Parts: sequence; C-alpha cells; structure tokens
Amino acid sequence: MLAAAVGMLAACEGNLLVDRATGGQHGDEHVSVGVPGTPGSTAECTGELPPVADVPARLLTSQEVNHALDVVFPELDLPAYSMAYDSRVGTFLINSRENVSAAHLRDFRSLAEDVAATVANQVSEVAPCDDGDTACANAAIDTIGHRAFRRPLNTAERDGLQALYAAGAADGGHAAGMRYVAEAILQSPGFIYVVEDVAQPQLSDHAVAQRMAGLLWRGVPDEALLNAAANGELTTVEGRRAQAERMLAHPRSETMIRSLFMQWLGLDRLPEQGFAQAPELDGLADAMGDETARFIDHVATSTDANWRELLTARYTFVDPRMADHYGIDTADAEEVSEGVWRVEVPGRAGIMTQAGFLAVHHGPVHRGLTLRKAVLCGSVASPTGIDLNSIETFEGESERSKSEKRLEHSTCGGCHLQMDPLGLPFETFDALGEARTEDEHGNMLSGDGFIVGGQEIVDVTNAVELADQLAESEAAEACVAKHLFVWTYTRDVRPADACAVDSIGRHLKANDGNIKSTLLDIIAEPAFIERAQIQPTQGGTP
Amino acid sequence: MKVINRKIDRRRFLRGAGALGAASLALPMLPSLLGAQESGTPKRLVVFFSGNGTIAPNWVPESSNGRLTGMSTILEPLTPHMDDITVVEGIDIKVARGEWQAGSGFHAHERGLGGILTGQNLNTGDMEAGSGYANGISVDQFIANSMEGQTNLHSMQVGLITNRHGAGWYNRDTMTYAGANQPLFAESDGTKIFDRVFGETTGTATTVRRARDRRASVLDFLREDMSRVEKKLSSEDRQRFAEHHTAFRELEEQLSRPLPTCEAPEGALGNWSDQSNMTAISDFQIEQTVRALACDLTRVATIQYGKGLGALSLRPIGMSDSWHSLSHEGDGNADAQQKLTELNRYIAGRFAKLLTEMKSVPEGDGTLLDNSIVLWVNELGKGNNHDHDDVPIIMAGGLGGVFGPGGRHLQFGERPHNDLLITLCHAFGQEVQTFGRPELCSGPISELLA
Repeated sequence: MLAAAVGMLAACEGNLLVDRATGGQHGDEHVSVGVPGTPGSTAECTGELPPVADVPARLLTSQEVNHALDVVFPELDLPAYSMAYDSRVGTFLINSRENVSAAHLRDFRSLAEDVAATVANQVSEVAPCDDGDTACANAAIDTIGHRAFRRPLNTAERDGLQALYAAGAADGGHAAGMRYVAEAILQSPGFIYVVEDVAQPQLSDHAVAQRMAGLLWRGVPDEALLNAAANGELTTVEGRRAQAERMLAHPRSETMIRSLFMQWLGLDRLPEQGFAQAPELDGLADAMGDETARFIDHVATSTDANWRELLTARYTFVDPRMADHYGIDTADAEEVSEGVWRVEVPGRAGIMTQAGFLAVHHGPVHRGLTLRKAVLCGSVASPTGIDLNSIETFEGESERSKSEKRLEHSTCGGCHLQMDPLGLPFETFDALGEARTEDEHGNMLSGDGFIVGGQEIVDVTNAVELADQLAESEAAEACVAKHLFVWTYTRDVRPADACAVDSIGRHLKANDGNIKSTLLDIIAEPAFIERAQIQPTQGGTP
Repeated sequence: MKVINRKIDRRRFLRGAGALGAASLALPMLPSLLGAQESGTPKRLVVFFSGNGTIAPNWVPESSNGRLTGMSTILEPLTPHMDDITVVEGIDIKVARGEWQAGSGFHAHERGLGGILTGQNLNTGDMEAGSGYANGISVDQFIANSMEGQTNLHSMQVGLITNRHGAGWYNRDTMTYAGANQPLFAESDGTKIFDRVFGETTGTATTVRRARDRRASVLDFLREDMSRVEKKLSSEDRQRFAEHHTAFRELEEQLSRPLPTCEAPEGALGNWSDQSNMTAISDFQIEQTVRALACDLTRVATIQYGKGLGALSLRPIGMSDSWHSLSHEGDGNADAQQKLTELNRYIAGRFAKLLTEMKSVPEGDGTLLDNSIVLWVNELGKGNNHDHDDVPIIMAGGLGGVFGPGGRHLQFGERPHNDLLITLCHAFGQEVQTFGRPELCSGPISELLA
C-alpha cells in the first residue's frame, strides 16, 4: 500500500520532495526544498556568502516599533503598542510584502499622537529646555531624530523639524513644540521604514547597523551600535564581530531567539487561540506560553540556541499549572527558580510535544502540514476541484481511520501522504496537549506514523521518535538554513539565492546547528554589508 | 504579546452585550447635515460575509408560491425579520471555477472570496499555487466611488477575527478590492475602527480644531519628507511606496472635509480576537457600523466574519472544533453536520442582530434598513466539496423602494452571480452592462427589483 501511495506523490501539486524537485540530483537539497519554480544550483557556490539582491524596504513590526520607542525615548515609560497590520514573510513577522494603505498610516498616526502627547506632558524629562531656548530645543531635535531615524538628521530634515517646532511653540511653548516634532518624527518614513539605499552596492555604516539590529535583536540600533557605525567600525569584519558578540550577550537577543523559534513553529499564535470559556482553562494559554518561553530561553543560553535541541530536548520547565496539566510530580525535581521545576515528561521531547504547540496545531492533518511546511520547507496544495465528500466518514470514527481512507484514496492520497503520517504520531495528545490513550469516542490511539522524504520512508512509533528523526534529517537542516535566510534578508528565497542559502547552511552545519553562532558568522561574512545589483531575471526594472 | 493600552476613557469596558441598550441607539436626526449635501434620504449598501459554505438541507426555508412561510433550522433567528428578507437560491459564483482563472491549481476558497464581490477571476501572483489578487474592483467599492465625496468616509471594512493569514495567503483574507490587484483588508480591531470613524467627531469644538491644526502642520512636514526617501528605493519598492502616497492623500483629504457631529457608541474593548467573546465583539462592531451609517459618515460597509476558509472556530458556540476542518467532513457525519448547522445558525443570529439594529433607527417614514440593501454572501456553496454553486444568499432592506418587497423566496437556475452585482449597481443608479467578467453577464436580475 505504501509503495503505491508514494507513487501518487507526483499527483500532489507543490511537491516538496527534495529528490523529486531536483530530478533526483544530490547536492541540491539546500535550495530546492520548497522553493517554487526552477530550483537554483549550488554547483557554482564557493561557500562564501555572496551579496544578496533586492533586500526590500519594510515597515517596522510591532516588536521593532516598541524597541525603537524604548531607544528613542528611554526616559518615558510607554505602553506596548500593537500594529494591526503586521504581516508575514513565510512564517516570520516581517512587513516587506504589502503596499502601505491608509490604515497603516492611521496606525502610525495614532501611535505618534499618543506618544507625542506623553512627550509634551513629560517634556522636562525628554527635553529639559526653557521656553525660547532655541539652541537647547535644536539639540533635543537632533538627538531624538538621530535615534529615531537610526542615522544623523540631514539638513532638510533638520530644517523641517525646526520649523515644525516653531509652529508648535507658537501655539503652546516648548512642550507643544516638542509634541509637534515627536508626532512628525514617529510618522516619518525615516522612522517607520527600514530602507537601504539601492543606488549603493555597499551599505552605509548606519544601514549595516540596522541590518545587525534587525537580525540579532529584531529591533533597532542602540547608542553603542550607532556610535560604532559613526566611527566606521562596522565596515570591518572584526568590528562587526565585536558588536555582534556584545549584542548576542544583551538580553534583547533572547527576545530575538524567542521570536525566531516561536514564529517558526507558529507558537506566536498561541494567544489568539482564545480557549473556550470553560473557567478551568482560564490562564492555561499563558501557562503554556510561559513554559515554551522558559524552554526556549534555556536552549538559547545553554546550547547557543541549537535548533536540534529545541526539537529533541528531554526536559522542560514547568510551573505547578503545567505540571498538573502533564500529570507529573515535581517533588523530586530540580527547582530552577521559584515555582519552576526542570522535569522530564515521559513520552515528550522538544517543543513539538509541549502543550503550546499542540494547542495551536490540532489534528493529524494540520499538525502534519505544519511540520511539512515549517520543518521540511515543503508546500502542499489545498484540495482543488476534488469532491471532498468522496470520503465517507461516520460519527465516532477515529482520526487515524479517516487518515487511512485519505491515504488510500486515489486523488486525496498524494497530498495527504505528506501531511497525515507526520501528524499521526501526535494523536496521543489532545487539542490542549494532554496525553491520552483513547479519543473522545473511545477509540484506542497509537503514535504510529512515518516520514516521507525523497524515495525514503522512515517509520516512527511515537512523537519523540519523529522529533529525533526530523532533527537528524538533511532536509530539516536545509530548511532551517532557508528560514535563516528569510530572517536575515526579510524576503522569500528566490532561485538566485542558491549560494547565499548554501553558505548559511554551511555555517549552520559548522556550528552544529547553533543558531546564535551561525548568525554571528553570517554577520562576519564580508558580503554581509553589500547588496547585489538588481537581478536581471527579475525584470521590470526601469 | 503585548496588548495596546491607549487612552480609552470615553468608552467604558464591558464584557457582555447587555450594556449596549437599544436606547443608546436612538441617534439624533441630522437633517441639516444631510440636506446640505444632497436631497433625499441617502442609500446604503451593507455586505455581510461568512464562509465555508452552508448545510443546504438545514438552510433552505419553507415557502409557498415564492412567499416565505417559515424559517429553516439555520435561519430560525431571522424569523422576526421574515418580512424584510429575500432568500435567494440558484446563484452560482461561476467566475470562481477553474476555467476562468488566470492559472491552474488556485484554491477554491481564494477563488470564491476573490470573485464574490468583484465578479472577477484571480490573477497570477506570488501567493499559494501561484495565485494573485482578484482582477477587478469589488461592487461595494464601485458603488462607494459613485458616491465619492458625499460622506466623511469612503467606506468601512469591518472584520470579525480577520487577523491575516501568513504571507502567501493574503488573497484568502479579503473580498474587497479598490481595483484589480488592489486588495482592501478588513479591520478587526474595534478600537481602530472607532478611531477612524468617530475619532474626529468627538470632543469639544476647540480641542477638535487644535488637533486638526497640529495634524495639518505635521502633514506638511511629512509631505516633504516622503519625497526624500523615495530616491533610495528600488523600482519594486517604489511601487509599494506609491501606495504610501495614495494613503497619505487619503489622510489629507479626510482632514479637509467638514466635521459632522455624531454620537459615538460605547463598547466592548479588549481582545478583539477572543472567539469565546464573539457575541459581544460582534455586537459592538455591528453597532459601530450602524451608527456610522445612521450618522451618514459613510454609506457603504462590509462586515466580514472570518476569512475565506475562516480563522473562526466553533468557540463562539462553546465548542473548540475548527470550522474549516469540520466543513470537510462527509455528508454522512451527522455530528459534523449538526455542529456546522449550529454555527451557521449562530451567524444567522449575528445577521439578525444587524437587521434589528438597522430597523431600530427611524428614518423618514421608515427605518435605516428600509433605505439600505443588505446582502449576506458566502464564498462557497457547499463546504465539503468546495463548490461555488448555489451559494447561500440573503438580501434585506428595500433601498427606499428600489428593491422588491421582502418575505420572498426566489429560486433561479445556475444564474451567474455577476448579474447580482450588476443589479446592485443599477439599484445605485449605475447602469452598467457588465460587472466583472463580461462573458458571465447577462443583465440585472429584474425579479429582485421593484
């Protein structure tokens, strides 16, 4: 039955299988996985990172905006803002795809007006100047502008902001002047966009600083990084390495690693799940999220953010709520901080068996699809022109039984073979991530499943084995390299990026899967501070 | 994730719908404001969307000789409105079929959602299966354009849990288009809608004027500033930035319009994605929309419950299943059929709430509903086979006598929905011959009109 099913794979559009996508040639895995269209070839790659073209202008995300506000106005205790229009490139929150609509601008306007009102109210902390002291006000404008635009103000900007200050000051003195200035700066393209000058093949010092802050902090440059940029330190490999090491030792890098791992596996969607009203579930989503965050923080600090450790670690960190949820006793466990124990949970390993992941992704199809896409960089087409009613299900039928019908079906099987077998090992966990031996209809459950990759089929008997197998697979490693490309260059991988992805993959391998060291090596590559000129294959250039 | 916590003192926090009393909806009439702009009562269009198809056997109402005589299980909440609604069967979104699309393999949800209001196919693009955005303007935007400048806001796009899908799925997120490849996305954050719709109309005259002066000065600076950044951009990014200009002009234009004085609703604030609090969120969004229409801040609104395929689960009715997954279950799965019936019935209840609110606003000799046309649409017909035939459609309101009376059950046979879009255009005085793909257009559906 399996052999026949594998034969059907070609019927599934968007076929992700490494060997199939490249016509069975080996050595192409790094770029062929999941890249639509013609796969690039790594035959010509030197291993060094080449300059990458078309790094897009992008809007700051909510996370970056909040970091930027902390940097621009360190004196203020501002609320956290959430921009409704954060969007994604692949799995990551990156605003580089969409056109900017009036709704985006209104978002920034309401943020700017809110912050500016606070600036006016606390002007003695932000910019302590007397009414009429123009020199003092001008210095404050320069400082705030420099931090907000992540580079010094140019003459036109300075003139414009000083004129704006004068208009405000005429209405209500220094406080009103600063209010006008803050309101304008926070809506200015220099603040809301990350833009690299496309006319220059080498990035400006300040653009390098922003690339580094985006990559290592998912934020903006702080004062030390801006100073390093101003001193020309970031043009040298040693200078960049020194700053990158400092930044990775900064607590802000934990925020970045959390975002990277959580967005990778869809865990940032946990708060959106809106658990049912049942009072006993109140706070459970938070507890799940906290567990995962603690676990990621530990992986980040103890293993340099190793992605294999993330998938396979035999431990986690539970509070009493999660200990209860997992049904384990913490009496003999190590209490690593107050009310938090390091535990081994039988039958679980790594982030994919934590309740947070299982509560975001439900059922064998969606769990399998998530792994197929996020961990193996595959894509699976949605059913089109297929009568889904052709598979009869009945009340009380187990998910496994339904899956088997899909896999055996002549039109459904091709695609579902890529999903269901990866999701079925998680059947022994319910929609809240609790372990179970039978489903709500009383069907006995097992964790049997298998991984289809290339011409190979790997059988597993539970989710832990599945995680171990995925962590060992070349396809997953290649996929992580692709994700790091997207994380670094804030756009999708294109065929012409083959050597860049290859280079990142080599760094990842050389660092045994440690993400932080890999990012450091990417930054230390000479071409990190370059842009390739527009690719001829893209067309449409003026 | 951190949650926005901005000053919201003019609204009070409430969890349930109970505090939104009908009394607070009794808006002052604004004859002088309306009269200054044009004669006669304004006409409004509201499009209400829910997805994943329906369960036809539980949707079709009882009727006799084309008159409704009783509601079905799903439509039962509409019983009090039976005389105001027309249930329409036999309309197909033919343009959503593969043969009309710009590429093969585009997904059923996106094809349906992109086509429902545009009457157009999807173009090719860089989204899933090589699909792109719809190839034309949506009917709500077309009609809003025809009334351009008569109201403070061009149109409203209200969302219920319309948080965006990941990149590669954006064409699954919206049904409204300003033009070919120009999607407009619904806003599901009620606070943002509130600020956009009512933000400028509250406060004293002096504070409003001072805020406007400050905004005008800031816009002057930003206008200059925009041109400076542009020089650095790639051609691709420059196209995106052109949209920034358009968006910027919209803010400028809003600032130049006269200020209506309008009573803003009070409402539920907090987590706009909390599906277990859906009824209260929905009530607030409906009330905002109805207020904006009643106050003539805008005349065109869309209310989108989830997206194509739907981010919605069954949490609004106290269950945790995924709506979309459930809609894949076969007809023989009685449990799934029953849950989907309940959920669709729940949505019918929200639609009933919209009608109730619209009827509670007196206008001339009738109500706001009498002067509006409200359309409930879906991107699919039947959920489990993803077809676009016989999509469930309900119309309500007469648009001031332009449409025929309610209480009817009309059955057509495989009529392309483009004709329904043409009918809407005609009703708003736009006598177009075609809307969307011309090949699928034969003309307005006369049976719907008075």
